[in-house]
Formats: sequence, C-alpha cells, structure tokens
Amino acid sequence: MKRDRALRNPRCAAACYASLAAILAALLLPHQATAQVRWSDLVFTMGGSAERYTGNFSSVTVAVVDSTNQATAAGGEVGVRGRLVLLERERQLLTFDLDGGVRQAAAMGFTLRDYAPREWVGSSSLLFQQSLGSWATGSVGGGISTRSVRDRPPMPLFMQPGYAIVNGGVGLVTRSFDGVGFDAFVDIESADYRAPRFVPQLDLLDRRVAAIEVGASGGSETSMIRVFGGLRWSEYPHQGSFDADDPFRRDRTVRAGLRWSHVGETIVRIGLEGTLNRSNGKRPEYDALSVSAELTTALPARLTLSVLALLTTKSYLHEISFARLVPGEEADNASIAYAEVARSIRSNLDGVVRLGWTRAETNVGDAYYQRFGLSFFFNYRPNEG
Amino acid sequence: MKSALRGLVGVLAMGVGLVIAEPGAAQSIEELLDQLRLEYQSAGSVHEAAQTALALVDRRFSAALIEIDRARLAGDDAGRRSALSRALERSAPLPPARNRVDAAADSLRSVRQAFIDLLIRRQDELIEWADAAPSAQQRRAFDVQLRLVSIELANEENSVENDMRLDPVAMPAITIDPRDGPAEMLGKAEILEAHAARVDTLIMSVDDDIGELVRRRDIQRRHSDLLAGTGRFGDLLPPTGTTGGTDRTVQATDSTAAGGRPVTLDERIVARRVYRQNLLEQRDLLLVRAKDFRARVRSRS
Repeated sequence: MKRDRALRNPRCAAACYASLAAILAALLLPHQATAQVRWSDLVFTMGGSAERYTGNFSSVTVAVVDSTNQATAAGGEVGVRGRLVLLERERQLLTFDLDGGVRQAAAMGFTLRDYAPREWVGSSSLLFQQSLGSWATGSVGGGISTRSVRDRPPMPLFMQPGYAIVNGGVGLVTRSFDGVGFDAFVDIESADYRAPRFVPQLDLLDRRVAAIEVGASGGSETSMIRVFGGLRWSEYPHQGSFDADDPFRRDRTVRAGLRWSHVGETIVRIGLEGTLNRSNGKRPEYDALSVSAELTTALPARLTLSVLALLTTKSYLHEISFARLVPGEEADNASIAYAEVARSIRSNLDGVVRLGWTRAETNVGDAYYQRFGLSFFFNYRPNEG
Repeated sequence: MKSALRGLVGVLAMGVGLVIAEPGAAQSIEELLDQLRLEYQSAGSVHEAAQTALALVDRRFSAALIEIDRARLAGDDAGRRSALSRALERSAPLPPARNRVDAAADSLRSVRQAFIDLLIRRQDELIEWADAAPSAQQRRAFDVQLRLVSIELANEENSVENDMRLDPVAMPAITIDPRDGPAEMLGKAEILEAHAARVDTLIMSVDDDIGELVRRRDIQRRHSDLLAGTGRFGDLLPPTGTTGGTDRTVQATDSTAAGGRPVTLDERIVARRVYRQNLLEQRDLLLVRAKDFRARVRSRS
C-alpha cells in the first residue's frame, strides 16, 4: 500500500525508476561490451551504517516537527555507479555516466513515532568531448538527477528532500599556453521539488539557474592549481522577495576561488571559494566562504586512508526584524568531515570503514544539528580481476 | 644461393618442357606449374622482404636494450630513462613485423605445398609418357624432363624439412654458419641468452612501472569511491545554499596529454601490459634459438 502511494508520487517514481535503471543497466549491459562500447569504471556498493543525530535545528522544508533533540538511525544501502564509454576516438569521446542507489534506515528516538525513511537516487549524464585542432577541447553535455524520500523524518535527522533536476552545459578547455591553460563553462539547470500535498513548502526550493564560469590552471602533470570565477543567475519562482514590484526571488551570485590538486601516489586537493550572493530581496543577501580539503594516501598493510573536510560560513548583509529562515538555506555555517580506511580484500573487492561528522548551525536561537556516523561498505568492481 | 639454384632448375624445366611440348592435358599441367612457380617465387620474395624488415626492427630494439644496459652500468639515470622510453617506442613495431613474417610464411607454405603436389602429378605424367613413348629419342627427352622435375621436387621437399627457417626469429643476424665449430655455436647461444637476460631486466622494470601505475589508479579509485559514496545521497549538501567546495569542472587528472585527448591511467596500464607481452615473446624467441643452438652442438658432438 505504502509502496503504491510512493510510486504514485511522480518524483518518487522517477527517482525509483532512475535508480532501478542505473542498477539494471549496470547489470544487463555486458561488462566487456565491445571494443567501441565499454565500462570505464563500474562499481557496486553495499553497506550499512549507524548514526546519531542531535540538535534543535529547524528546516522550512521538513513538514513534521518533533520535540526531541536526539535521534539514532541504523540502515543499509546499495548503489552502483559507472561510466560507459560509447565512442572513443583519438579526438572524440562520448561517455554516459550512471549513478543510482537506495538507502533504507530505521530512525528511532523521536517523541511521536519511529520512522523508516527510504531514499532513492538516480542520476545520469551524457558528455561529448571533441578536440578542436591542437589548441582546445570542447564539450557539450546534459544530465538528469532525481531523488525521492519516503517517510522523511523530522529534525534533527536532516535529509535532503526529493527533487528532479535537469541540467545541460557547454565547455571549452584550452591546451597550456606558456604553462597556463584556460577554461570556460556555461551551464543551465532546472530543479523541481514537486511538493507532495502535505509539504507544499518544498515548492519554495524550485529554481532555474544559468551560470558561467571561467578558469585558468597551471602546473605539472601531477600538481595543478586552478583559479576560477563565475557568475550565476538563479530564479525561485515560488519564493517571495518581499518587494511588491518584483515579487519573486531572483539572485545574482559571484563566485571566485582557487583549487590546488596533487594527483600522484597521494592525492591532495585543497579548495578555497568565496561567494557573494545578491538578491532582489534583502533576506538572502550574504557573503560566504568555503574551504575544502581532500586527501587519499596509502597506508601500510594494503590500507588506504581518505579524508574529506568541507567548511562553509555565511555572513548576511542586512539585519532583519524577523527570523531569517530561507528555505533550504537555513544554516549559517556547516562543517563536514569524513575519514575512511579501505582495504583490498580481493583484486576487485574493497572493504571500507567510514566515519562521518556533520554540524550545521544558525544564529537564530543558536540552533544546530549534528550527525555522527559509522559505516562499513564493500565496493565491488566486476570488470576487474 | 638456394633460391638461385631453385630458379635455375625451374628455368631448365620450363625450357625442356617447351622443347617436347605435348598437346592437351600435358600442356595445361605445365602451364599450371609455370604459373605456380611464379607465384611461389613471388611469395618467397614477400617473405624475404618481411624477414628483412623484421631484422631491421629487431636490430633497432636490440640497440635500445644495449643502451639501457650501458646507462644502468654507468649509473646514468636520465640516460636509462630515455633508453627505456626508446625501447618502448622501438618495441611497438616488433609484433606487426613478426605477424607479417608469419603471414608471409603461411602463404609461402601453402603455395609451396600446391607446387609440390603439382610436381608429383607432373612426375607421374612424365613416367607414363616415357613408358608409352613410341621412340627411344622421345623416351630420352621425357627422362631428361623427369630428372629435372625430380630434382626440383627434392629441393622443395628438402625445404619443407627446414620449415622452421620461415618462422620469425629474434636477432636473425646471429645464425649458424656451416663452418662454425662447437665453440662458435656455444658463443652465439650465449649472445642470445645474454640478450634474453637484458629483455628479462626490462620486463622487471616494466613490472615496476605497471605496479606503480596500478597503485596510483587504486588511490584514485578509492578517492572517487569516497566522493561518490558521500555525494550519492546528498550528504555533502547541508542546508547552507552555497555550492562552495563541490568542484564541478577541471580537476587535475592523472593523465598525459599527447596531442588528442588525455591518456588515462587505465589506458597507460593496458599499454604497458601489451608492451610486457611483446617483451615476453621476444625473450622466448631468443631462448628458443639459444636452446636450438645448444642442441645442435650436442648433436654434432
């Protein structure tokens, strides 16, 4: 019965079908198709996790409210991702990326009742790359991402809501001129959160985006630094601006940053990005700074350590007289950290233990939510070994 | 020398055939023989050209191996690296050159077999005619022709016994001369074995190379696994509204750009494995020849 109801929701159905399609495509397409069509990396993932959530954070898009400040969840997930190389010539490349999965949890500790949230996700994208003479590579591509959540729990167990996003873009990456290569990208995106009857506020997140980004990068084969800047125009057709002459929210965002990467026997990536968000209403105008760091390195005994950290902080430009709860953007700062240790069990099978920590805070009533999780996974690559 | 002799016998046979030309079926077998003889000679030339090309490619590759050895002994790391990449570059034409020799040898063998079959038919035919010849003069003419055909047939059957000569070999410049004594033959076998040892050293260095590339690829894969695993269900997107930190475009990929699109680590690993396979074949060919040389020494003594 519940399943039927879930599938009657178009967004839910799309996400379910997208993840099923990803899994079926990965299973049914021959793993070593032909010389022309092949899987470049096909990975099946299966695992489980235990998580603890604390906090009093409020999210506009979460329909149910519960008075608890603590919750726990245990769950399992399966996923698959892969890249299908459809055309591979010296100067042309056509790839199809697939990613899908399902995560089922049992969430406990709420005052009202226990929850059994199930997330279905699926995404696919097609990318065509063409060398343009000896000076540049052009690309054109597009993709679809869908996500649905059944029995979405209240805070502090934060889960992204369901959506359907369609995007497309073109890009150009030049070869290196005197050690510096240039790139430019234009993207468009449409996100539809098609709200179910009892959560109409999810429609507030619907957006249409156009963005342009230019960058310059230099370095060696293994170490590279990229400096970039971009403009982004966003429209939120269901969010008010509190301006009678221009009633719906429209943002203009300037982004600039740099990213240093070292890819060798150790992978290190450090990123710094500044964001200036301006809008036709005062409420969502802010400046933000994000710092990211990634590290993957070999340890003794065939172990690999990977660490990922992402810090974001926002500073609003205007003081306003009411609580600032911008839908989907309620947090003023967020910190995310993951550390995982992987070990090869067989040549095509890795075992992984992962620790994860997330904390998001807002200045409204010093609210926050925090998540701490421990997971274990198996990553299986059927095309190897 | 051998092919010149084969040509001379062939020309003589053709000449005698013309002198005592018979009508009907005899004419057609003779015509077929002439045609096949030309095809056989042409296949021989193609094979010889393929062998020469292989010898040239082999010599260039062998020179690169010696350069690697020299650089290694001199402790010249830069020289060794450049010799290693030269060896990689020069090994690439070896398999196609060997394949061309193989294909030419196959074609030569099949034409030769057809030629031998036809020579036998011609022999039978000439014996019949000689038995039925009305005059002694005619019988003598058939006998002369039969002798020439028999010599030609014996030559070809002899060449079947030395069939191995048609196959592609490593270091074809090193051959056994009929005047070579056991010491010379053993010396030549040792040269081949020393060369095989050089190839072995190169295989070990390619193995190290593959090992390093595989380690780097595994690191990249585990890095991608973490990003994919945390990003799949949106766990990297808390409700801040910013997209900071989610890198969308140009990443430093571990690849080399060579004209066209970048070469991925997977492609580099596959290329190294093909190279390793080529080296194994080359080493085996050298060892087979060395073993053959040693066997000949034993059989002579």
